[in-house]
Amino acid sequence: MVHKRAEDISELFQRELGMPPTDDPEEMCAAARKQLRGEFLSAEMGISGCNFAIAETGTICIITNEGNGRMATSMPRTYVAVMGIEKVVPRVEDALLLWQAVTRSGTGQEVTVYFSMSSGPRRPGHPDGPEEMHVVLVDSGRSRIIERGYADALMCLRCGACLNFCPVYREIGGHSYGDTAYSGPIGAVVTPLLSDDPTAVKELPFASSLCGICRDVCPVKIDLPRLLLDLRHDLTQLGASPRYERTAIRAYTKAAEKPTRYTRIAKLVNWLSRLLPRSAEGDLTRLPPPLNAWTKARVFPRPASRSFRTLWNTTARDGSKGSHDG
Amino acid sequence: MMGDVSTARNHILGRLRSLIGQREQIFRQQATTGLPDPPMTVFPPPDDKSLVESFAIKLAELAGSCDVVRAGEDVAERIVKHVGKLLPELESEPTEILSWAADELHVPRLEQTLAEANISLFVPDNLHDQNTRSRASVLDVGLTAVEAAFANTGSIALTTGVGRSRAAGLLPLNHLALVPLSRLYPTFEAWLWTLRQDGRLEALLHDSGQLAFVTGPSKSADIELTLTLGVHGPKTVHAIVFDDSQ
Ligand code: SF4
Repeated sequence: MVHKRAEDISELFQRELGMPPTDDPEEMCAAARKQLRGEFLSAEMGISGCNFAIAETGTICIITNEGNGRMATSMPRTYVAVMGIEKVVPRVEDALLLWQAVTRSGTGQEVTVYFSMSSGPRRPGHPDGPEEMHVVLVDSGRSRIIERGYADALMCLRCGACLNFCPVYREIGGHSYGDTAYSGPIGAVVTPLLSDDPTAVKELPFASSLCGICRDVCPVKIDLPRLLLDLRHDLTQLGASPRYERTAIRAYTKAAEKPTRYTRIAKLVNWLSRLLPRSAEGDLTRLPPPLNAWTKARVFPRPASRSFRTLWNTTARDGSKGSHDG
Repeated sequence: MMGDVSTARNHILGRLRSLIGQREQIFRQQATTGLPDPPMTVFPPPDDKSLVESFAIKLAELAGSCDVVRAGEDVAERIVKHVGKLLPELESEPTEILSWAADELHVPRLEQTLAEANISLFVPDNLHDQNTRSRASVLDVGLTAVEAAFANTGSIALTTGVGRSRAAGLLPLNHLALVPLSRLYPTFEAWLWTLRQDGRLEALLHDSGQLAFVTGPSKSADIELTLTLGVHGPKTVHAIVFDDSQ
Protein backbone atom coordinates (compact mmCIF):
# COMPACT_ATOMS: atom_id res chain seq x y z
CA MET A 1 0.00 0.00 0.00
CA VAL A 2 3.04 2.24 0.10
CA HIS A 3 2.24 3.66 -3.31
CA LYS A 4 -1.29 4.80 -2.37
CA ARG A 5 -2.16 8.08 -0.71
CA ALA A 6 -4.06 8.19 2.55
CA GLU A 7 -7.16 9.59 0.82
CA ASP A 8 -7.13 6.76 -1.68
CA ILE A 9 -6.98 4.20 1.07
CA SER A 10 -9.71 5.95 3.01
CA GLU A 11 -11.90 5.94 -0.08
CA LEU A 12 -11.21 2.25 -0.61
CA PHE A 13 -12.13 1.51 2.99
CA GLN A 14 -15.34 3.54 2.73
CA ARG A 15 -16.35 1.58 -0.32
CA GLU A 16 -15.28 -1.90 0.79
CA LEU A 17 -15.68 -1.78 4.56
CA GLY A 18 -18.36 0.89 4.94
CA MET A 19 -16.01 2.93 7.10
CA PRO A 20 -16.59 6.67 7.73
CA PRO A 21 -14.11 8.95 5.89
CA THR A 22 -10.85 9.67 7.74
CA ASP A 23 -7.27 10.64 7.00
CA ASP A 24 -5.90 9.22 10.21
CA PRO A 25 -3.61 6.28 9.43
CA GLU A 26 -4.18 4.99 12.96
CA GLU A 27 -7.94 4.68 12.40
CA MET A 28 -7.50 3.10 8.99
CA CYS A 29 -5.06 0.66 10.43
CA ALA A 30 -7.52 -0.32 13.15
CA ALA A 31 -10.20 -0.88 10.51
CA ALA A 32 -7.87 -3.03 8.46
CA ARG A 33 -6.91 -4.99 11.54
CA LYS A 34 -10.51 -5.70 12.40
CA GLN A 35 -11.41 -6.78 8.88
CA LEU A 36 -8.33 -8.90 8.29
CA ARG A 37 -8.52 -10.42 11.75
CA GLY A 38 -11.84 -11.99 10.82
CA GLU A 39 -10.32 -13.37 7.64
CA PHE A 40 -7.26 -14.75 9.43
CA LEU A 41 -9.43 -16.49 12.01
CA SER A 42 -11.75 -18.08 9.46
CA ALA A 43 -9.29 -18.89 6.66
CA GLU A 44 -8.79 -22.59 5.99
CA MET A 45 -5.34 -22.14 4.58
CA GLY A 46 -2.46 -19.76 5.16
CA ILE A 47 0.11 -19.23 2.42
CA SER A 48 3.43 -17.49 2.89
CA GLY A 49 6.72 -16.97 1.13
CA CYS A 50 9.94 -17.85 2.83
CA ASN A 51 12.95 -15.76 3.77
CA PHE A 52 15.21 -18.59 4.84
CA ALA A 53 14.86 -22.36 5.03
CA ILE A 54 17.19 -24.08 7.47
CA ALA A 55 18.61 -27.36 6.19
CA GLU A 56 19.70 -28.90 9.49
CA THR A 57 16.29 -28.62 11.13
CA GLY A 58 13.81 -28.37 8.23
CA THR A 59 12.65 -24.93 9.36
CA ILE A 60 10.88 -22.22 7.34
CA CYS A 61 11.63 -18.66 8.48
CA ILE A 62 9.48 -15.63 7.77
CA ILE A 63 10.18 -12.00 8.52
CA THR A 64 7.42 -9.43 9.10
CA ASN A 65 6.81 -6.25 11.05
CA GLU A 66 3.03 -6.37 10.98
CA GLY A 67 2.48 -9.89 12.27
CA ASN A 68 0.67 -11.19 9.19
CA GLY A 69 3.36 -13.86 8.89
CA ARG A 70 2.71 -15.16 12.39
CA MET A 71 -1.03 -15.14 11.78
CA ALA A 72 -0.84 -17.02 8.48
CA THR A 73 1.53 -19.62 9.93
CA SER A 74 -0.42 -20.10 13.15
CA MET A 75 -4.17 -19.73 12.76
CA PRO A 76 -5.40 -21.63 9.66
CA ARG A 77 -5.57 -25.44 9.69
CA THR A 78 -3.27 -25.76 6.71
CA TYR A 79 -0.08 -23.82 6.16
CA VAL A 80 1.69 -23.71 2.79
CA ALA A 81 5.10 -22.09 2.34
CA VAL A 82 6.31 -21.29 -1.16
CA MET A 83 10.05 -20.85 -1.48
CA GLY A 84 12.73 -20.48 -4.14
CA ILE A 85 15.34 -23.22 -3.86
CA GLU A 86 18.03 -20.65 -3.17
CA LYS A 87 16.56 -19.81 0.24
CA VAL A 88 18.18 -22.78 1.96
CA VAL A 89 20.87 -22.03 4.53
CA PRO A 90 22.86 -24.68 6.39
CA ARG A 91 22.29 -23.84 10.05
CA VAL A 92 20.09 -21.97 12.49
CA GLU A 93 22.92 -19.52 13.18
CA ASP A 94 23.09 -18.63 9.48
CA ALA A 95 19.40 -17.77 9.35
CA LEU A 96 19.67 -15.54 12.43
CA LEU A 97 22.71 -13.76 11.02
CA LEU A 98 21.12 -13.17 7.62
CA TRP A 99 17.91 -11.98 9.26
CA GLN A 100 19.83 -9.22 11.02
CA ALA A 101 21.70 -8.43 7.80
CA VAL A 102 18.62 -8.16 5.61
CA THR A 103 16.75 -6.05 8.16
CA ARG A 104 19.60 -3.66 8.65
CA SER A 105 20.09 -3.17 4.92
CA GLY A 106 16.40 -3.17 4.06
CA THR A 107 14.73 -0.91 6.60
CA GLY A 108 17.52 0.24 8.92
CA GLN A 109 16.03 -1.56 11.92
CA GLU A 110 18.27 -3.92 13.87
CA VAL A 111 15.70 -6.71 13.65
CA THR A 112 12.15 -6.94 12.35
CA VAL A 113 9.32 -7.18 14.88
CA TYR A 114 8.61 -10.82 14.04
CA PHE A 115 10.83 -13.67 12.99
CA SER A 116 8.79 -16.86 12.83
CA MET A 117 10.49 -20.20 12.48
CA SER A 118 8.12 -23.03 11.63
CA SER A 119 9.45 -26.57 11.80
CA GLY A 120 6.31 -28.53 11.00
CA PRO A 121 2.66 -28.81 11.96
CA ARG A 122 1.46 -28.54 15.54
CA ARG A 123 2.51 -31.32 17.89
CA PRO A 124 0.10 -33.48 19.89
CA GLY A 125 -1.44 -31.52 22.75
CA HIS A 126 -0.46 -28.09 21.40
CA PRO A 127 -3.28 -25.56 21.63
CA ASP A 128 -2.67 -24.04 18.18
CA GLY A 129 -0.65 -24.15 15.00
CA PRO A 130 -1.56 -25.65 11.62
CA GLU A 131 -2.58 -29.29 11.40
CA GLU A 132 -0.78 -29.67 8.09
CA MET A 133 2.24 -27.89 6.75
CA HIS A 134 3.42 -28.09 3.14
CA VAL A 135 6.45 -26.57 1.50
CA VAL A 136 6.58 -25.88 -2.23
CA LEU A 137 10.09 -25.54 -3.59
CA VAL A 138 10.28 -23.49 -6.74
CA ASP A 139 13.15 -23.77 -9.18
CA SER A 140 11.77 -21.71 -12.07
CA GLY A 141 15.12 -21.07 -13.73
CA ARG A 142 17.23 -20.86 -10.59
CA SER A 143 19.24 -24.03 -11.15
CA ARG A 144 19.90 -22.73 -14.63
CA ILE A 145 21.38 -19.56 -13.14
CA ILE A 146 23.86 -21.75 -11.30
CA GLU A 147 24.52 -23.70 -14.48
CA ARG A 148 25.20 -20.47 -16.35
CA GLY A 149 27.84 -19.58 -13.79
CA TYR A 150 25.98 -16.90 -11.84
CA ALA A 151 25.37 -18.69 -8.54
CA ASP A 152 26.49 -15.57 -6.66
CA ALA A 153 23.33 -13.77 -7.78
CA LEU A 154 21.25 -16.32 -5.86
CA MET A 155 22.77 -15.24 -2.58
CA CYS A 156 20.57 -12.14 -2.83
CA LEU A 157 18.49 -11.54 0.31
CA ARG A 158 16.11 -9.16 -1.45
CA CYS A 159 16.92 -6.38 0.98
CA GLY A 160 16.60 -3.68 -1.68
CA ALA A 161 19.70 -1.73 -0.65
CA CYS A 162 21.25 -1.90 -4.12
CA LEU A 163 18.04 -0.52 -5.64
CA ASN A 164 17.80 2.39 -3.26
CA PHE A 165 21.36 3.45 -3.88
CA CYS A 166 21.50 2.84 -7.65
CA PRO A 167 21.57 6.14 -9.61
CA VAL A 168 20.10 4.41 -12.66
CA TYR A 169 17.25 2.81 -10.74
CA ARG A 170 16.41 6.09 -9.05
CA GLU A 171 15.99 7.66 -12.48
CA ILE A 172 14.09 4.97 -14.32
CA GLY A 173 12.14 3.18 -11.57
CA GLY A 174 11.11 -0.42 -11.17
CA HIS A 175 8.94 -1.02 -14.22
CA SER A 176 11.88 -1.07 -16.63
CA TYR A 177 13.17 -4.35 -15.28
CA GLY A 178 10.57 -6.62 -16.81
CA ASP A 179 8.06 -8.68 -14.91
CA THR A 180 10.36 -10.61 -12.58
CA ALA A 181 10.19 -9.66 -8.96
CA TYR A 182 13.76 -8.33 -9.07
CA SER A 183 14.60 -4.82 -10.19
CA GLY A 184 17.52 -2.43 -9.82
CA PRO A 185 21.08 -3.73 -10.18
CA ILE A 186 20.20 -7.23 -9.00
CA GLY A 187 17.27 -7.22 -11.45
CA ALA A 188 19.59 -6.27 -14.30
CA VAL A 189 21.50 -9.46 -13.51
CA VAL A 190 18.68 -11.83 -12.66
CA THR A 191 16.07 -10.84 -15.26
CA PRO A 192 18.14 -11.90 -18.31
CA LEU A 193 19.30 -15.02 -16.46
CA LEU A 194 15.76 -16.08 -15.65
CA SER A 195 14.43 -15.51 -19.11
CA ASP A 196 14.42 -18.29 -21.70
CA ASP A 197 16.04 -16.00 -24.20
CA PRO A 198 18.50 -13.69 -22.43
CA THR A 199 19.03 -11.67 -25.61
CA ALA A 200 15.39 -10.55 -25.39
CA VAL A 201 16.29 -8.34 -22.39
CA LYS A 202 19.84 -7.64 -23.46
CA GLU A 203 19.72 -3.92 -22.66
CA LEU A 204 19.48 -4.41 -18.90
CA PRO A 205 23.11 -5.38 -18.12
CA PHE A 206 24.24 -2.43 -20.24
CA ALA A 207 22.07 0.09 -18.42
CA SER A 208 24.66 0.69 -15.73
CA SER A 209 27.57 3.03 -15.26
CA LEU A 210 29.27 0.33 -13.15
CA CYS A 211 29.75 2.89 -10.40
CA GLY A 212 29.87 0.03 -7.92
CA ILE A 213 27.77 1.44 -5.10
CA CYS A 214 25.50 -1.62 -5.31
CA ARG A 215 28.41 -3.85 -4.42
CA ASP A 216 29.41 -1.59 -1.56
CA VAL A 217 25.98 -1.59 0.07
CA CYS A 218 25.10 -5.25 -0.54
CA PRO A 219 25.03 -7.04 2.83
CA VAL A 220 26.14 -10.32 1.27
CA LYS A 221 28.75 -8.62 -0.93
CA ILE A 222 27.47 -9.78 -4.28
CA ASP A 223 29.87 -8.33 -6.85
CA LEU A 224 27.14 -6.92 -9.07
CA PRO A 225 29.38 -4.85 -11.40
CA ARG A 226 31.46 -7.98 -12.03
CA LEU A 227 28.32 -10.00 -12.82
CA LEU A 228 27.07 -7.24 -15.13
CA LEU A 229 30.35 -7.28 -17.03
CA ASP A 230 30.26 -11.08 -17.26
CA LEU A 231 26.72 -10.86 -18.61
CA ARG A 232 27.69 -8.24 -21.17
CA HIS A 233 30.44 -10.58 -22.28
CA ASP A 234 28.12 -13.59 -22.49
CA LEU A 235 25.47 -11.61 -24.34
CA THR A 236 28.02 -10.41 -26.88
CA GLN A 237 29.12 -14.01 -27.34
CA LEU A 238 25.51 -14.88 -28.03
CA GLY A 239 25.53 -12.25 -30.76
CA ALA A 240 23.27 -9.85 -28.93
CA SER A 241 25.23 -6.72 -29.82
CA PRO A 242 24.09 -4.66 -32.86
CA ARG A 243 25.78 -5.25 -36.21
CA TYR A 244 27.34 -1.77 -36.51
CA GLU A 245 28.95 -2.20 -33.09
CA ARG A 246 30.53 -5.49 -34.14
CA THR A 247 31.75 -3.96 -37.40
CA ALA A 248 33.17 -0.98 -35.54
CA ILE A 249 35.03 -3.15 -33.05
CA ARG A 250 36.43 -5.26 -35.88
CA ALA A 251 37.58 -2.14 -37.70
CA TYR A 252 39.18 -0.80 -34.53
CA THR A 253 41.00 -4.10 -33.96
CA LYS A 254 42.42 -3.87 -37.49
CA ALA A 255 43.45 -0.24 -37.02
CA ALA A 256 45.09 -0.81 -33.65
CA GLU A 257 47.22 -3.70 -34.89
CA LYS A 258 49.99 -1.42 -36.24
CA PRO A 259 51.06 1.90 -34.60
CA THR A 260 51.68 3.57 -37.97
CA ARG A 261 48.31 2.54 -39.27
CA TYR A 262 46.65 3.72 -36.09
CA THR A 263 48.36 7.13 -36.16
CA ARG A 264 47.45 7.68 -39.77
CA ILE A 265 43.80 6.77 -39.27
CA ALA A 266 43.57 8.88 -36.12
CA LYS A 267 44.91 11.89 -38.00
CA LEU A 268 42.43 11.29 -40.78
CA VAL A 269 39.49 11.07 -38.37
CA ASN A 270 40.63 14.20 -36.56
CA TRP A 271 40.87 16.06 -39.86
CA LEU A 272 37.46 14.78 -41.01
CA SER A 273 35.85 15.88 -37.74
CA ARG A 274 36.73 19.49 -38.62
CA LEU A 275 34.20 19.27 -41.40
CA LEU A 276 31.39 18.52 -38.96
CA PRO A 277 29.05 21.18 -37.52
CA ARG A 278 30.10 22.50 -34.13
CA SER A 279 28.61 24.36 -31.22
CA ALA A 280 29.94 27.68 -29.97
CA GLU A 281 32.21 25.80 -27.56
CA GLY A 282 33.56 23.75 -30.40
CA ASP A 283 31.76 20.48 -29.47
CA LEU A 284 30.35 18.34 -32.27
CA THR A 285 26.61 18.78 -32.67
CA ARG A 286 25.91 16.34 -35.46
CA LEU A 287 27.61 13.02 -36.21
CA PRO A 288 26.96 10.78 -39.23
CA PRO A 289 24.84 7.61 -38.70
CA PRO A 290 24.90 5.38 -36.72
CA LEU A 291 26.68 7.77 -34.34
CA ASN A 292 23.92 10.33 -34.73
CA ALA A 293 22.01 8.41 -32.01
CA TRP A 294 24.38 10.16 -29.62
CA THR A 295 24.13 13.67 -31.04
CA LYS A 296 20.35 13.53 -31.21
CA ALA A 297 20.22 14.06 -27.46
CA ARG A 298 23.55 15.73 -26.59
CA VAL A 299 26.76 17.10 -28.02
CA PHE A 300 29.88 15.03 -28.55
CA PRO A 301 32.99 16.46 -26.84
CA ARG A 302 35.36 18.06 -29.32
CA PRO A 303 38.51 16.11 -30.14
CA ALA A 304 41.65 17.35 -28.41
CA SER A 305 43.81 19.58 -30.54
CA ARG A 306 46.82 17.39 -29.92
CA SER A 307 46.41 13.63 -29.76
CA PHE A 308 47.59 11.53 -26.83
CA ARG A 309 50.33 10.04 -28.98
CA THR A 310 51.68 13.45 -29.93
CA LEU A 311 51.70 14.50 -26.30
CA TRP A 312 53.33 11.28 -25.26
CA ASN A 313 56.07 11.64 -27.80
CA THR A 314 56.78 15.22 -26.73
CA THR A 315 56.88 14.20 -23.07
CA ALA A 316 59.11 11.23 -23.82
CA ARG A 317 61.55 13.54 -25.59
CA ASP A 318 61.55 16.02 -22.70
CA GLY A 319 61.36 13.21 -20.13
CA SER A 320 64.70 14.11 -18.56
CA LYS A 321 63.19 17.41 -17.34
CA GLY A 322 61.20 15.34 -14.81
CA SER A 323 57.68 15.96 -15.96
CA HIS A 324 56.67 12.61 -14.40
CA ASP A 325 56.61 13.46 -10.73
CA GLY A 326 56.54 10.16 -8.88
CA MET B 1 -0.09 -34.72 -12.15
CA MET B 2 1.97 -36.45 -9.44
CA GLY B 3 4.15 -37.91 -12.20
CA ASP B 4 4.88 -34.44 -13.56
CA VAL B 5 5.88 -33.11 -10.19
CA SER B 6 8.31 -35.92 -9.44
CA THR B 7 9.83 -35.80 -12.93
CA ALA B 8 10.39 -32.08 -12.51
CA ARG B 9 11.85 -32.67 -9.07
CA ASN B 10 14.27 -35.33 -10.31
CA HIS B 11 15.25 -33.10 -13.15
CA ILE B 12 16.02 -30.12 -10.92
CA LEU B 13 17.81 -32.17 -8.29
CA GLY B 14 19.79 -33.93 -11.02
CA ARG B 15 20.89 -30.61 -12.41
CA LEU B 16 21.94 -29.37 -8.97
CA ARG B 17 23.74 -32.63 -8.17
CA SER B 18 25.74 -32.44 -11.35
CA LEU B 19 26.86 -28.96 -10.29
CA ILE B 20 27.88 -29.95 -6.78
CA GLY B 21 31.21 -31.29 -7.98
CA GLN B 22 32.01 -27.81 -9.27
CA ARG B 23 31.16 -26.19 -6.01
CA GLU B 24 34.54 -24.54 -5.62
CA GLN B 25 34.14 -22.80 -8.94
CA ILE B 26 30.51 -21.90 -8.36
CA PHE B 27 30.95 -20.18 -5.03
CA ARG B 28 33.95 -17.92 -4.95
CA GLN B 29 34.31 -18.26 -1.24
CA GLN B 30 33.70 -21.59 0.33
CA ALA B 31 31.25 -21.65 3.20
CA THR B 32 33.05 -21.92 6.50
CA THR B 33 32.64 -25.16 8.32
CA GLY B 34 32.30 -25.12 12.09
CA LEU B 35 30.98 -22.27 14.19
CA PRO B 36 32.95 -19.46 15.75
CA ASP B 37 33.56 -19.87 19.46
CA PRO B 38 32.66 -17.65 21.28
CA PRO B 39 29.66 -16.91 19.06
CA MET B 40 29.76 -14.04 16.60
CA THR B 41 27.56 -11.09 17.58
CA VAL B 42 25.89 -8.68 15.19
CA PHE B 43 24.68 -6.09 17.68
CA PRO B 44 26.48 -6.43 21.03
CA PRO B 45 24.82 -4.92 24.13
CA PRO B 46 26.66 -1.94 25.63
CA ASP B 47 29.39 -2.84 28.15
CA ASP B 48 28.52 -0.15 30.66
CA LYS B 49 24.96 -1.35 31.32
CA SER B 50 23.49 -4.43 32.95
CA LEU B 51 21.55 -6.83 30.77
CA VAL B 52 18.28 -5.79 32.38
CA GLU B 53 18.98 -2.12 31.75
CA SER B 54 19.90 -2.74 28.12
CA PHE B 55 16.81 -4.83 27.59
CA ALA B 56 14.54 -2.20 29.13
CA ILE B 57 16.09 0.67 27.18
CA LYS B 58 15.91 -1.20 23.91
CA LEU B 59 12.32 -2.26 24.39
CA ALA B 60 11.32 1.31 25.25
CA GLU B 61 12.99 2.58 22.06
CA LEU B 62 10.77 0.19 20.12
CA ALA B 63 7.56 1.45 21.72
CA GLY B 64 7.41 -1.43 24.18
CA SER B 65 7.70 -1.09 27.95
CA CYS B 66 9.27 -2.94 30.81
CA ASP B 67 8.97 -3.41 34.58
CA VAL B 68 11.70 -4.89 36.69
CA VAL B 69 10.74 -6.49 40.02
CA ARG B 70 12.86 -8.15 42.63
CA ALA B 71 11.08 -11.40 43.30
CA GLY B 72 8.52 -13.63 41.67
CA GLU B 73 5.93 -12.72 44.29
CA ASP B 74 5.82 -9.13 43.08
CA VAL B 75 4.94 -10.17 39.57
CA ALA B 76 1.24 -10.71 40.27
CA GLU B 77 0.95 -7.24 41.73
CA ARG B 78 2.52 -5.73 38.59
CA ILE B 79 0.22 -7.70 36.36
CA VAL B 80 -2.82 -6.46 38.25
CA LYS B 81 -1.58 -2.88 38.03
CA HIS B 82 -0.86 -3.15 34.34
CA VAL B 83 -4.14 -4.84 33.45
CA GLY B 84 -5.95 -2.23 35.55
CA LYS B 85 -4.35 0.50 33.50
CA LEU B 86 -5.28 -1.17 30.21
CA LEU B 87 -8.81 -2.11 31.27
CA PRO B 88 -10.36 0.44 33.65
CA GLU B 89 -13.45 -1.77 34.07
CA LEU B 90 -11.36 -4.20 36.14
CA GLU B 91 -12.27 -2.16 39.23
CA SER B 92 -15.86 -3.25 39.06
CA GLU B 93 -16.10 -6.51 37.17
CA PRO B 94 -14.13 -9.75 36.84
CA THR B 95 -11.90 -9.90 33.78
CA GLU B 96 -10.62 -12.77 31.75
CA ILE B 97 -7.23 -12.69 30.05
CA LEU B 98 -5.83 -15.08 27.45
CA SER B 99 -2.92 -16.91 29.02
CA TRP B 100 -0.41 -19.70 29.01
CA ALA B 101 -1.06 -22.39 31.61
CA ALA B 102 -0.18 -21.24 35.13
CA ASP B 103 2.66 -23.76 35.49
CA GLU B 104 4.25 -22.37 32.31
CA LEU B 105 4.51 -18.88 33.79
CA HIS B 106 7.19 -19.73 36.37
CA VAL B 107 5.61 -17.66 39.13
CA PRO B 108 4.36 -19.47 42.25
CA ARG B 109 0.74 -18.91 43.31
CA LEU B 110 0.18 -16.50 40.45
CA GLU B 111 -3.26 -17.76 39.53
CA GLN B 112 -4.63 -17.43 43.08
CA THR B 113 -3.24 -13.92 43.52
CA LEU B 114 -4.74 -12.78 40.24
CA ALA B 115 -8.08 -14.38 41.12
CA GLU B 116 -8.20 -12.31 44.30
CA ALA B 117 -7.84 -9.24 42.06
CA ASN B 118 -10.72 -10.32 39.84
CA ILE B 119 -8.52 -11.57 36.99
CA SER B 120 -9.01 -15.06 35.67
CA LEU B 121 -6.85 -16.89 33.15
CA PHE B 122 -8.34 -18.41 30.03
CA VAL B 123 -5.95 -21.14 28.90
CA PRO B 124 -7.13 -22.53 25.55
CA ASP B 125 -6.41 -26.17 24.83
CA ASN B 126 -7.51 -26.27 21.21
CA LEU B 127 -7.90 -23.11 19.18
CA HIS B 128 -9.20 -24.99 16.16
CA ASP B 129 -12.37 -25.48 18.17
CA GLN B 130 -14.76 -22.72 17.09
CA ASN B 131 -16.03 -21.83 20.57
CA THR B 132 -12.55 -21.64 22.01
CA ARG B 133 -11.45 -19.49 19.13
CA SER B 134 -14.34 -17.06 19.49
CA ARG B 135 -13.80 -16.78 23.23
CA ALA B 136 -10.05 -16.22 22.81
CA SER B 137 -10.37 -13.66 20.05
CA VAL B 138 -12.36 -11.11 22.08
CA LEU B 139 -9.91 -10.89 24.97
CA ASP B 140 -7.83 -7.73 25.28
CA VAL B 141 -4.82 -8.96 27.19
CA GLY B 142 -2.55 -11.93 26.52
CA LEU B 143 -0.18 -13.26 29.20
CA THR B 144 2.85 -15.43 28.41
CA ALA B 145 6.28 -16.25 29.74
CA VAL B 146 9.24 -16.44 27.35
CA GLU B 147 11.66 -19.09 26.17
CA ALA B 148 14.39 -16.49 26.27
CA ALA B 149 14.88 -12.72 26.10
CA PHE B 150 17.71 -10.70 24.56
CA ALA B 151 19.28 -7.58 25.98
CA ASN B 152 20.89 -6.29 22.79
CA THR B 153 17.72 -5.97 20.74
CA GLY B 154 14.91 -6.00 23.34
CA SER B 155 13.51 -9.16 21.78
CA ILE B 156 11.83 -12.17 23.32
CA ALA B 157 11.60 -15.74 22.02
CA LEU B 158 8.26 -17.55 22.27
CA THR B 159 7.74 -21.27 21.75
CA THR B 160 4.53 -23.21 21.29
CA GLY B 161 3.84 -26.19 23.52
CA VAL B 162 1.28 -27.92 25.72
CA GLY B 163 -0.25 -25.04 27.72
CA ARG B 164 1.66 -22.49 25.62
CA SER B 165 -0.52 -21.13 22.84
CA ARG B 166 0.74 -18.85 20.08
CA ALA B 167 -2.56 -17.01 20.38
CA ALA B 168 -1.76 -15.53 23.82
CA GLY B 169 1.14 -13.53 22.42
CA LEU B 170 -0.55 -12.76 19.13
CA LEU B 171 -4.32 -12.24 19.18
CA PRO B 172 -4.99 -9.75 22.01
CA LEU B 173 -4.26 -6.06 21.51
CA ASN B 174 -1.99 -6.12 24.56
CA HIS B 175 0.77 -8.59 25.31
CA LEU B 176 2.24 -9.07 28.76
CA ALA B 177 5.41 -11.16 28.82
CA LEU B 178 6.97 -12.50 32.01
CA VAL B 179 10.75 -12.69 31.76
CA PRO B 180 12.65 -14.64 34.43
CA LEU B 181 16.11 -13.14 34.85
CA SER B 182 17.70 -16.54 34.24
CA ARG B 183 16.38 -16.46 30.70
CA LEU B 184 17.78 -13.07 29.78
CA TYR B 185 20.74 -13.42 27.41
CA PRO B 186 22.98 -10.71 25.98
CA THR B 187 22.31 -11.73 22.35
CA PHE B 188 20.55 -14.28 20.12
CA GLU B 189 23.93 -15.66 19.28
CA ALA B 190 24.81 -16.30 22.92
CA TRP B 191 21.55 -18.11 23.46
CA LEU B 192 21.94 -20.31 20.38
CA TRP B 193 25.45 -21.11 21.46
CA THR B 194 24.21 -22.28 24.86
CA LEU B 195 21.51 -24.40 23.22
CA ARG B 196 24.10 -25.96 20.90
CA GLN B 197 26.46 -26.69 23.78
CA ASP B 198 23.66 -28.45 25.65
CA GLY B 199 22.51 -30.28 22.52
CA ARG B 200 19.01 -28.81 22.89
CA LEU B 201 18.68 -26.67 19.77
CA GLU B 202 17.21 -29.18 17.38
CA ALA B 203 14.76 -30.57 19.93
CA LEU B 204 13.60 -27.07 20.83
CA LEU B 205 12.75 -26.20 17.23
CA HIS B 206 11.19 -29.55 16.55
CA ASP B 207 9.10 -29.86 19.69
CA SER B 208 7.68 -26.37 19.51
CA GLY B 209 6.49 -26.42 15.90
CA GLN B 210 7.09 -22.68 15.83
CA LEU B 211 9.69 -20.57 17.52
CA ALA B 212 9.03 -16.86 17.16
CA PHE B 213 11.24 -13.91 17.97
CA VAL B 214 9.17 -10.87 18.90
CA THR B 215 10.68 -7.40 19.12
CA GLY B 216 8.22 -4.79 20.35
CA PRO B 217 4.66 -4.24 19.19
CA SER B 218 3.38 -5.09 15.69
CA LYS B 219 3.95 -2.15 13.38
CA SER B 220 3.71 -0.84 9.86
CA ALA B 221 4.57 2.31 7.98
CA ASP B 222 2.43 1.34 5.01
CA ILE B 223 0.00 4.25 5.00
CA GLU B 224 1.93 7.35 3.89
CA LEU B 225 4.96 6.20 5.86
CA THR B 226 3.24 7.02 9.16
CA LEU B 227 4.20 4.52 11.83
CA THR B 228 1.13 2.68 13.11
CA LEU B 229 1.18 0.08 15.87
CA GLY B 230 -0.90 -3.02 16.34
CA VAL B 231 -1.43 -3.87 12.69
CA HIS B 232 -2.03 -7.62 13.05
CA GLY B 233 -0.27 -8.46 16.28
CA PRO B 234 -0.36 -6.69 19.67
CA LYS B 235 -0.33 -2.92 19.90
CA THR B 236 1.38 -2.89 23.28
CA VAL B 237 4.08 -5.20 24.53
CA HIS B 238 4.95 -5.01 28.20
CA ALA B 239 7.66 -7.13 29.77
CA ILE B 240 7.94 -7.87 33.47
CA VAL B 241 11.46 -8.97 34.31
CA PHE B 242 11.76 -10.72 37.67
CA ASP B 243 14.48 -12.36 39.69
CA ASP B 244 13.86 -16.11 39.76
CA SER B 245 17.11 -17.06 41.47
CA GLN B 246 15.51 -18.14 44.75
S1 SF4 C 1 21.84 -7.86 -4.41
FE1 SF4 C 1 22.53 -7.43 -2.33
S2 SF4 C 1 21.90 -5.30 -1.96
FE2 SF4 C 1 20.74 -6.00 -3.78
S3 SF4 C 1 18.79 -6.74 -2.93
FE3 SF4 C 1 20.18 -8.51 -3.09
S4 SF4 C 1 21.13 -8.65 -1.06
FE4 SF4 C 1 20.24 -6.60 -1.20
